[in-house]
Amino acid sequence: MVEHPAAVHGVPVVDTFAEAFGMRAARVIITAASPRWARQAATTMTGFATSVIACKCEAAIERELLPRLTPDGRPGISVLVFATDSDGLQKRLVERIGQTVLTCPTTACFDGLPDATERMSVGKPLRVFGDGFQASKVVAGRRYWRIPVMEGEFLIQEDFGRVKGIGGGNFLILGETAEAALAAAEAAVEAMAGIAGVILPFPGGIVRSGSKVGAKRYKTMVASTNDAFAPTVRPITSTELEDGVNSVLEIVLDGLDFESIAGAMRVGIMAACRPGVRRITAGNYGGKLGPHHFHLRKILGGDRSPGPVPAAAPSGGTP
Amino acid sequence: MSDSVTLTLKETIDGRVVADAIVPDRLATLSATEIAHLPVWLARHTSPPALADATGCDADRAARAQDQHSVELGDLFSVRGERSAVVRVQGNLANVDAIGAAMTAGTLSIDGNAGRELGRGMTGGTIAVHGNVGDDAGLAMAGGAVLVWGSAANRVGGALPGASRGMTGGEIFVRRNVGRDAGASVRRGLIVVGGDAGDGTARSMIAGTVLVMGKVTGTVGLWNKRGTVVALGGATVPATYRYACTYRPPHLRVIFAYLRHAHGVPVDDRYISGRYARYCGDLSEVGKGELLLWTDA
Repeated sequence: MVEHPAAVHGVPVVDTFAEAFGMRAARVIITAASPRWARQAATTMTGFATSVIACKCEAAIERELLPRLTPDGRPGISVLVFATDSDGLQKRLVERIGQTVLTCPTTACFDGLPDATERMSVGKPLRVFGDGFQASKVVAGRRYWRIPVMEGEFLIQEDFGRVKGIGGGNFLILGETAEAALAAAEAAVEAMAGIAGVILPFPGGIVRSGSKVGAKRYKTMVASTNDAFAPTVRPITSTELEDGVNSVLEIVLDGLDFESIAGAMRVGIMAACRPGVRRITAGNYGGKLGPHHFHLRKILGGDRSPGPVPAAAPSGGTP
Repeated sequence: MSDSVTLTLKETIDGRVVADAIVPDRLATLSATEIAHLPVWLARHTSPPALADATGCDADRAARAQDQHSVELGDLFSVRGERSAVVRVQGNLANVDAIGAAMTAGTLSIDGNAGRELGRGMTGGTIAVHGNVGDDAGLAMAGGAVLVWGSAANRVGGALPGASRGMTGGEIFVRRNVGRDAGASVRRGLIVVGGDAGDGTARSMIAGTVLVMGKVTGTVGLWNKRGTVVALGGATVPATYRYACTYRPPHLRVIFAYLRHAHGVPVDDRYISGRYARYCGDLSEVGKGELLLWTDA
């Protein structure tokens, strides 16, 4: 029998779950002459990609890659990109790679999911930037496009793999002060950095403006502030916050599979449970919208298997 | 079913043998007895016949027809194992031709030399030769890999007589030298030569890549349309090529990384990180081909 802890380092962990959604995911390997330029391209590519609500995709750096792990033996960065559907994912990759990686000095771009059976054409639509001067090479059964540019040549793989991923894993850090909540969130992000198969798409990995679906007052809004967890309106809304909680930050995770997200959440929550944190909880919609449920206490107990859908919603939602 | 099929040459063959029955995917379905009964063609002359005299007539034909006859594989080779796509052939097969012809899958390992037309028209699988091979290795191949640990003679990856295209896919690795016309008329694929290449390398190449880690002697890349010729040990640039720039071609790093990791080919770091002079050509053709010469400058 796996023991499911109710607290970590004296910080209570609510018996609730994070509710996440199915997405389509790709892994892009960006290499460059130096780690600096690989990171520059990756950072630019993953800008404005925090939430599918307005950015059309979610993307972030997954981890740094040593030269021996990249297709061309240069320093690299692995980026994960998530979108709600297959067509959207392909379009986002073409747009973002075309505008941010192709344009960045010394870079080359490769597929990071070579075993994926679903393939997307990415280098092929970008090749026409070469205006007829482009050339292709097939190495080990994979086609690469060589696009002549002013600096020299941009190399990109013709097609990229696509897999089913999960978006919207999350947990909330309820702090006594804004400083305490931020320190705990930073510790969580640092602990989760570099875990394979997972990204934290929000700025620095942290969300200060968790949202609920729709809005109470503005009918056209797709999402609006999660007032149940906003401390400044605590007396005038249906709050989830107790006395002593003065700031809440959220960590949102996207991943290639359930196990990766669950493992990262465990590491992050363990790191976030520190002095000044009153409680750890998670956002969901009562289990009615997203098929993937990350039960916090089960995860902390080392159980990474997807659990059954609970009957009721224990806490407020944060898409 | 056994782990592998081993064919061992019984004694030195007087003449040439066309052994296009030695194909792993074919042997994978046969018992040892059936393998031993496969037909191979034996010709008693030791040098290629003149196909025609000055008048255009094949005067020798009748005599040669009498000299060629079918024998069974078991007459020349002892057979051990059955129903396996992993095939090992032992003995000096320098006069055994067309081994692995039209092969689609499996592994064929030759412990010794091999004759002409090794892997002719193959589309898949791997042939490894731990010795030298004769003319026309990888002739018109479309897929798979040919690995030669020694040298290869003329027309590696070339075209069938009268055909406009040579190799259309796959990979050929020759650890030592190749003779004339390596990569002639190649349409697609990768040919890697660990040593030197002879005259006519990449002649009439359509596309694909020929990488010579030694020196290319004689002409190179004449009438090349869109192919890439890489010469690490230097080559004489044809008059119909024009210098473009000196840079680090990103695709070469991918090829070198692949050679190192997948095939254990030793590639010096200076070639991986070095710069290459790019010449565009052949300008007597479409001119979209290239000659990349490594430079230590």
